[in-house]
Amino acid sequence: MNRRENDSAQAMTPAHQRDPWELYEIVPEALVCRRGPGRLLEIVLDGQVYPGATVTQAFPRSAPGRYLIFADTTDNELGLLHDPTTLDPASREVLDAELRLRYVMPIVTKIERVRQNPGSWTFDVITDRGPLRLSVRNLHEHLEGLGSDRLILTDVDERTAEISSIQALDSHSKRELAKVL
Amino acid sequence: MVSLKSRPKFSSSGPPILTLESDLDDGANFCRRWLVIDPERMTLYDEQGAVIRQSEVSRLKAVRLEQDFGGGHLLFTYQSEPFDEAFVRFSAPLAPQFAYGLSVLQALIDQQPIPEMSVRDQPRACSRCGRTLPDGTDVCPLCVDKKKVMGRLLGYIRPYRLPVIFAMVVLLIGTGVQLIPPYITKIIIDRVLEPKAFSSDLLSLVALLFAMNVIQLGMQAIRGYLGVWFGSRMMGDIRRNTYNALMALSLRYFDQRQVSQFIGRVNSDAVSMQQFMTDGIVMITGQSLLIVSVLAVMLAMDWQLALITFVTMPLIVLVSVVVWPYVRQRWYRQWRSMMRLNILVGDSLQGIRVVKAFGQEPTERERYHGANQDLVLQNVRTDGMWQGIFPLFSFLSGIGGLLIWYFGGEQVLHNRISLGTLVAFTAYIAMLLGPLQWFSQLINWVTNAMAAADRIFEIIDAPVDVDDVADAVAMPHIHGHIQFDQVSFGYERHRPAVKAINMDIQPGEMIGLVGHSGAGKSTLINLLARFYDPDEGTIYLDGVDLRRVQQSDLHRQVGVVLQETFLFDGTVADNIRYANPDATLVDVIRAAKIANAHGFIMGLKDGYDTQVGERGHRMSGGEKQRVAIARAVLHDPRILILDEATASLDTETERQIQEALARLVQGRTTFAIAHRLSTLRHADRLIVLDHGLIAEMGSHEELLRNRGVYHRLVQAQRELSKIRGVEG
Ligand SMILES: Nc1ncnc2c1ncn2[C@@H]1O[C@H](COP(=O)(O)OP(=O)(O)O)[C@@H](O)[C@H]1O
Ligand SMILES: [Mg+2]
Repeated sequence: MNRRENDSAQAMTPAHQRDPWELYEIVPEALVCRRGPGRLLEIVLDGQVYPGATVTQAFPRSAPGRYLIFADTTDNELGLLHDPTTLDPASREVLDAELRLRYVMPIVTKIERVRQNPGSWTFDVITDRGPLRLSVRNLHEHLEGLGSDRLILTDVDERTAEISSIQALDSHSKRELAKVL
Repeated sequence: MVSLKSRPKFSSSGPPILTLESDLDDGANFCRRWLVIDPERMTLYDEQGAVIRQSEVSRLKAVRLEQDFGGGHLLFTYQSEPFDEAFVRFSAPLAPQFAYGLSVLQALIDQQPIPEMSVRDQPRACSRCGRTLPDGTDVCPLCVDKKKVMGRLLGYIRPYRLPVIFAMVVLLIGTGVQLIPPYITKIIIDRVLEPKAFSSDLLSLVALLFAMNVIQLGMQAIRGYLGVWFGSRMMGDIRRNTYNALMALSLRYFDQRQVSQFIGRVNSDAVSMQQFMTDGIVMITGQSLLIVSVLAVMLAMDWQLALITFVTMPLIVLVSVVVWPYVRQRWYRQWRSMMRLNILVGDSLQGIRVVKAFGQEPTERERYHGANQDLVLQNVRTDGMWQGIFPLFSFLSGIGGLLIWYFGGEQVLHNRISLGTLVAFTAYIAMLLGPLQWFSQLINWVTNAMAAADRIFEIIDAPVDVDDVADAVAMPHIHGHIQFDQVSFGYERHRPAVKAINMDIQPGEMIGLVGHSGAGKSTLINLLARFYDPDEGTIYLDGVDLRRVQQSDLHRQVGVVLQETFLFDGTVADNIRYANPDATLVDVIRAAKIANAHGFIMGLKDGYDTQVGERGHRMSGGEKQRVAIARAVLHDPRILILDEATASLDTETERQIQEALARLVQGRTTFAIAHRLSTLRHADRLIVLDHGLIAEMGSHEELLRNRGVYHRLVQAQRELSKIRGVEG
């Protein structure tokens, strides 16, 4: 079957008339993302405007930025955007910014200091969102390795930070991190 | 930095109702923002106190707190504007404060009185480090005093004071005895061998030496035995304390962790401490005593020579200090690898049926192999390090011996000291170096034991969030009057599973809870059984706040049958009288009959003595459920909770049990959850939950007439039964 044809056929059906058990794939050409007047995401899908739409990642850890599920304000699922790379640049920019708002997951760019105090560890890090201090009680419950090169740190207040590539860190950061790895 | 801590001056007219600090800007970058709520308007200020945006309360139609991942924002809907506005963003730890801010705003919009900040909403700070305490606890997870670990560990000695004192005395004598033989050799050399004194008492001196050895042997044996004796006992106490602590922990603690890790942890961490507790403590005291007395003797014999020996000591201490942190890290890593391996085994064995059903044994083997390799690597690293460090210690301490031979030898040649003194000195040096070399081993033991102790104390210290209050109310006879007053609860903070639940259930009433799966039915029941405490609102039992009811009284009079039944190791009869071990066998049979379990139990070769659980007979889901129902029947509770208790039964069996249960629920407050709505036809009232809210409440007929959620559920099931051709 011609997939493209099938997609657009689906896309023509208004969201509320669709079969709720089916997954609708959004064709990138049919989607425009923009920022609404109240700083909320607004999307135009097949000519229909959805102010205050939400976007959620299906695989925030293993495939961040892809497999995006869009929903309207009443949580009606509008469809799945498999890969946003072919969106028009303006839409992409808005979408990337929106994901940054939806997922407050700071990415560590530099590790200033890792310190062991009696009863806890303190991580002073610089992230893409600014400096952050994380305090954890122990490492085995708060430091989660994803593969060999990625780490997720969750502190006692449920603040999280991600080290997306240990290899890519500068040598000072690596040395600090080596204290706990 | 100081200015960051203080609040800027805001240009508002009067005193604000509420000022909230936020930590995210509009692009979700970290920065400081202030949301100031005045009676007429909300204003967002930046760090310098400049206004970012402002909204009039009168223009607002609604406010909502929108959850993002790791953060959230307040969403304003206006009367006149066609669009919504994200007014302020914040990261997840600030959600509780903003939830309160939301209720304040809501009150302003509705022109209601401003709600009090409840104690639970108030961010409480640890008195020591000043950081915000986690929900529902007063124990700061970071400030549990770790320096006291050693002290606490030694505290376990207290019950065994007498044997310990005895061991110390033995130790003291043993050390004294150890000091004598080198001195005897000195006498032999200086008085017998050197002067070639044939007539002297060589034999008696050697006999004395022999006697000393025998005494030492005896002392060592006694000391060793005593060490093991009280070490093992203390370990037993620690294990018991840990297990008791695990049992006392609330479900929330286990919700957040893989349970299988504890199976290994309780025991293996105890083993790590055992060696330290049995040998370590005795050894440390004994060897320290030995070092001090040997030093004293050496100094007394020849202080100059003695000082030469000590030259290498600072080196040894230095190496220890440098090495220590690495040792600690290595041990921790090894332990983490071990824990991962334990979890893996626990998980795959618990799910062994699924593993087999999908033919995933190779994958599981692969996963185990990977984790095992990692542990091997960590082992090699940790133990391998010792293979390098241990010889270094020996080498360093050996240098002291060489120095003695050289400088002492010179002295003997110049006749400044006797040969006997030199020989005795070397013997003492050997005694001194023994403990010093052994010092490296000690580092190893102590670090391992301290780390294990620390993890164990972490469990023991974990706050119990559904703890009995100090003045808990004893309720030996519960009537079963239950009220929910604005009860909200979420397993994760601010993702409520049930919201603003209000209900008043009379004693003896039977309530059917219905709703889609995930609607919050089981959650409601978990709250009633006090597995968790509500985040907001109060549950009253016979007019008493459930939090104040003595838990032993509560659980004695609440009977629970869950869909996932669990049978313990033991016989069928043991399982039926799990909560009532004193029940007679006739009572057991009577209960089994009511639960319609008697028939199939009698069909088993061993009848009620059939072994079930992990090692015993495997029962079908329906059989297990009937045993669990019998357990609840025998428990004779005032409040009966049936959470899909009959879900695994066929329609016919279910009907039979229904009739039995109908008799059972007489005069008891009953909560029943069932997917088959026909099961609930005996219920006095039905409560329909929808997305955590009570959607409808009333009798079967009333709800059908209402044509609401319940009506739709019934319709849907009718259609389903038509398809299946069962149930009418
Ligand atoms: N132990 C738990 N930890 C976290 N979330 C849970 C837990 N148990 C249930 N939930 C969530 O709470 C909600 C209500 O669940 P539950 O009360 O079990 O529903 P049901 O009505 O099917 O019994 C669901 O969204 C579920 O995912
Ligand atoms: Mg349930």
